[in-house]
Amino acid sequence: MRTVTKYASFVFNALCWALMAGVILFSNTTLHMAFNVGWVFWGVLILGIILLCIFMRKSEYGIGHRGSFVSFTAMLLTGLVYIGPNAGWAIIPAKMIREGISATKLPFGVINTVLVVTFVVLIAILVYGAIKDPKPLEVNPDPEQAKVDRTGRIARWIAYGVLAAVLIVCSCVPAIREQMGHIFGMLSSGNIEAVVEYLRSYGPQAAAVSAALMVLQSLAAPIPAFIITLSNAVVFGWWQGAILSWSSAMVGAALCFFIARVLGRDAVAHFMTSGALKTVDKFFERFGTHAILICRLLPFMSFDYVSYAAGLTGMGFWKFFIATGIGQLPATIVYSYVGGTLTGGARTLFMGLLIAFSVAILVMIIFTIFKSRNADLMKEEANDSALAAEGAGEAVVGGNAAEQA
Amino acid sequence: MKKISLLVMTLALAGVLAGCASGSGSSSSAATSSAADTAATSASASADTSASASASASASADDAATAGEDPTVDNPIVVDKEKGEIRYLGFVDGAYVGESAAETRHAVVFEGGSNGQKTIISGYGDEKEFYQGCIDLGWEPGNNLTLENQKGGENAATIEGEKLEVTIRWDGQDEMPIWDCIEAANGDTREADWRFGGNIDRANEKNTGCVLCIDSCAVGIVSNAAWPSGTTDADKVTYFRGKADKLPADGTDVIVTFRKAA
Repeated sequence: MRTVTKYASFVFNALCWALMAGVILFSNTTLHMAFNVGWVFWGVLILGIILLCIFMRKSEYGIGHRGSFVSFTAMLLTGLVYIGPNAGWAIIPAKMIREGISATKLPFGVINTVLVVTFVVLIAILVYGAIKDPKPLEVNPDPEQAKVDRTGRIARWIAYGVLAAVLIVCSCVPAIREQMGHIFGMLSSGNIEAVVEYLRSYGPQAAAVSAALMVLQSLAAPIPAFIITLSNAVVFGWWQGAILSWSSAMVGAALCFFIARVLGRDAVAHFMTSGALKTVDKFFERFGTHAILICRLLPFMSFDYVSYAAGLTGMGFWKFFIATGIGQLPATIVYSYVGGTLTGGARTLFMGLLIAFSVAILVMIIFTIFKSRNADLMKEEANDSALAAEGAGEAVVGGNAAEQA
Repeated sequence: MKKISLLVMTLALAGVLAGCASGSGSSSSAATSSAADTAATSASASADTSASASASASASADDAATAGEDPTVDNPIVVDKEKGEIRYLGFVDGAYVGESAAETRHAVVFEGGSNGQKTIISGYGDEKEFYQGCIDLGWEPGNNLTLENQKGGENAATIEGEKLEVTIRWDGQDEMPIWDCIEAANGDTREADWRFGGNIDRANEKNTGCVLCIDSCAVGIVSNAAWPSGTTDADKVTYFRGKADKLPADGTDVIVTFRKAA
């Protein structure tokens, strides 16, 4: 039964992730007009199952009921945020699934029935497994630490609940949903004039609204921050705008980091082996500062993914915060100066040059990292050879001694 | 035990895929029968037109054969020279119908094109054959837009060419302007201005399948001069969707008719 539950958890989680990825992409009309989002759904599903079967094959319980619950609620909340509380639930996932297999006339009803039955069967297996043979919770042998861990777990579940409640309210209250839709639509359109007009409409409160927008865009990772940075420069003047953009972006980055650290790391631990988590931690420990500096320079890159990723790893907050502060300083100053002083073709040309420059830096840093890794490997190899040679030498000496004896 | 669970998992996946495949099969047979029904209904309904067409001494044998005939899955584009119109068979994609559904910039697209699944109505007929039909009817293509115009902003322009009237009908529904079934997501209620844009070179190059685009387009054979190029993807002014209270259910066959505007 344990093995059945384990593989059922792989299929269940991969299905949740595939639906999440597909719905997020499908909800962006520009993206879904540009390519077949259905392929993403099927790709994530099949690849997810294969990767889980390979990398978690030694795990006794698979992802387990807690991790599966996290995936399922994350999928439901994603659906609520991107589709809303409406009939789109019966249309968008089904459309995505049939688009992926080019079954244009396959009725939504058939797809939805198969989907619901699949979910019901998988949930039944997971619930049965969780009742009959639950994955044991790792309890710290030190009673004091165990108490602290328990409190931490309760706090995390409360935080999950609060986050879920906020998302439900924002998705289900029509006035809030409409306002959020307007703001995200404006920010993702890349139309700086629209953002400038929006900020100016708030008069004296424009700075506070701008800071709130910056924090909001930080939480909604796909939207790049430079639109707000450029708009701030136009509205408040280049250096005042730069200060506002820099400070509000720091608040946003810190918030992303803590959300990921408090809520995410525990959740991620369900889906990664401790070895893999350690490897990622090691990478961030070593190259985290580089990554943060690079990502802050690239204007088309949403830095918030990096903030979340850093929060998920064992990287220290202050290391992250300082690297972020330094990394975003030159970019903020340059973008603010460009936004505040250049217009039209000159601005486009300057932005193009800036992107080219950033990409050049990126390539350079990747090369440096590659070189440093290579040097490490060569060093390790040399050490191994030296040790082997030493061992062989000892063996020869031992052999001679034995012969002499 | 491991082998059994792997087998169960494989069977579950196979079941999902088999379910999809069998649904697809039954759906396409339903489409064929639906198209046949539509053809039969329309054939009897238009018997008078057929008779008068046959009686016309000036009409050629081909013209007589197509006059009044409705398109079918096997013959999805009917070029009716006598009536001066093209009848095109497609089916509704419910994913783009209703406020809670997705949005698009395509009204009618050949299902074999790259945009064939991103449209309110997926068509059975190749857009290049449709273009040839328009030329055969003597309509003047605009051919005035380039891909540069698609970038919108300062490059935005409107499509030119023969002004057309585009209508839609299906089993149980009389012909009505197709624009009555489409709305702009931003609530703009301007009237449509359909133009035979032409664009056959780019249609051949891109193979998007686009027959009828809702904003001015450098690729679609027919598009709408009421909305400039770049309205959707580039300038993000608005996207469009089908009206749930006007269009039939997902998968229903419909006939879209194109004729020169009066």
